[in-house]
Amino acid sequence: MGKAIAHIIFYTPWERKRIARLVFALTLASLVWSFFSNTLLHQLQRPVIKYPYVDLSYWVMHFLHLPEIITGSFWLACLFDLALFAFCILCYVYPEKRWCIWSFIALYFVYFITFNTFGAHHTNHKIGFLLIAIPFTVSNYKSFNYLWQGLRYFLVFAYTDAFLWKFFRLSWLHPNQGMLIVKKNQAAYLYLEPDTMLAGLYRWLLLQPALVNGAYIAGVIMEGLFIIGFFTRKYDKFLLILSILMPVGFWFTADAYFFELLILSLTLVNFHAIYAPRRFSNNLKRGALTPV
Amino acid sequence: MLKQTFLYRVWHHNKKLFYIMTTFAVLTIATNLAGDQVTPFFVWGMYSAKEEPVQQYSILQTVVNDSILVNPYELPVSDTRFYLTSPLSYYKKIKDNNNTDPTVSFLQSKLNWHVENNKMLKNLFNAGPQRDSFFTWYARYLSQVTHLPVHSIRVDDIKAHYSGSKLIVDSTHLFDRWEKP
Repeated sequence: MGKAIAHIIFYTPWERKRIARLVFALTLASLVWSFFSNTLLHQLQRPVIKYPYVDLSYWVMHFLHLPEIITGSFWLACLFDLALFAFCILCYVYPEKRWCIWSFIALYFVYFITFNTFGAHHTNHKIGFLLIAIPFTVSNYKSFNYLWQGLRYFLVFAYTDAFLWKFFRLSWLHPNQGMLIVKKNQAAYLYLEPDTMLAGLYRWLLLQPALVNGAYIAGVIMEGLFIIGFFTRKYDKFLLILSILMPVGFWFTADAYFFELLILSLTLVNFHAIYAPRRFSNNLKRGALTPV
Repeated sequence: MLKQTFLYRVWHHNKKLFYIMTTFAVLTIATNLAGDQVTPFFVWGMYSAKEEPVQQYSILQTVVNDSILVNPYELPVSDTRFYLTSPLSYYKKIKDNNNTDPTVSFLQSKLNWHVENNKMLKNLFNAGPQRDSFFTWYARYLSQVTHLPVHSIRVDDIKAHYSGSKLIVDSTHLFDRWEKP
């Protein structure tokens, strides 16, 4: 049985296995989604424009020519993508095999860097999948729990950091900040899709500056509320709802897709509350427990 | 009080794990203070820069084979749209920056690094070969996404402004054109 030790929920090895299966099933779904997006490495069609910017990890990868070598050959890229899928499936089937988890993390890291550098923008939405497998690399169940909890702090930090950046750069005081973000990011959509209902909604919103700017401020406050997560787990359900609302807001206002980041929201879920009653009833059915 | 903290418990449980977690946290804070992301020490500064009002917005419109408008918004999957628009935008930034990769200009202006004098750094960024083969790649990618053979690409730069809620097109001019050799 899992037990809560001062705000930390300790998952049992049985629960850990189920969480791993859920994580890798969702990761596999994300990879399938990438296939339909034409963004697996064999689908990048030997890209040329790169964007290491000033990120030293990207520099090292390009010094080693790894993104160029893999995407430069269709068959090598196919092999890479097959390995990525295969290790993800292996992690699902054998969540205790640590070498599988490490191999998947290494492959996903290469995929992450290559996707971003040839996409000419360092996107954040795949960060969740890059980090979510890390807690499963340890065999000790307590270490797993501390790492899982560490990931929860990482998610809380990400939104808190987003709040602090806006707070200290005073963008929340900047007149029309929300409206200008919508205008800039939705201009192409309004030009190319002027007759859709969504375009109609945007046009209506462009006439309501108070509402749009207010929504931006509300978003900043919502990010700021994640600070609570550093001090207590009591409001994790509330933070979970906020973590779902945030990507919807990013998509609606800035046409930015942060939905894949939702994988980290799993760290806000109390799986013990979900799995424990199910396990109890299964044991009861099997006769392993006798009701008094 | 200290004994109640998460990091204390990690320390108590496993010193090595504590050092790994603390190092990760410290480096993440350091990259945030420096304002420079070094993967996996991420900086979450999205939409924190002050947006300045602009007179005109620039929209890049791609037409293939002289007749088919590529509308990325018709594609249901966002990452495809990202790959159709982001490299093209960056290619335009290079062209607008006198054919120099904007990162090279950034390193020169901020750190006084002259990338062109350093062979190792020079290979990191986009130069002639990348610029020259951009449209050949773009044609391949467009062909995969549209399921059509692509013989020519025309990219128009559309300048538009908002009048109330309406987007008014001010001008359309040819940004670049490519024909299959």
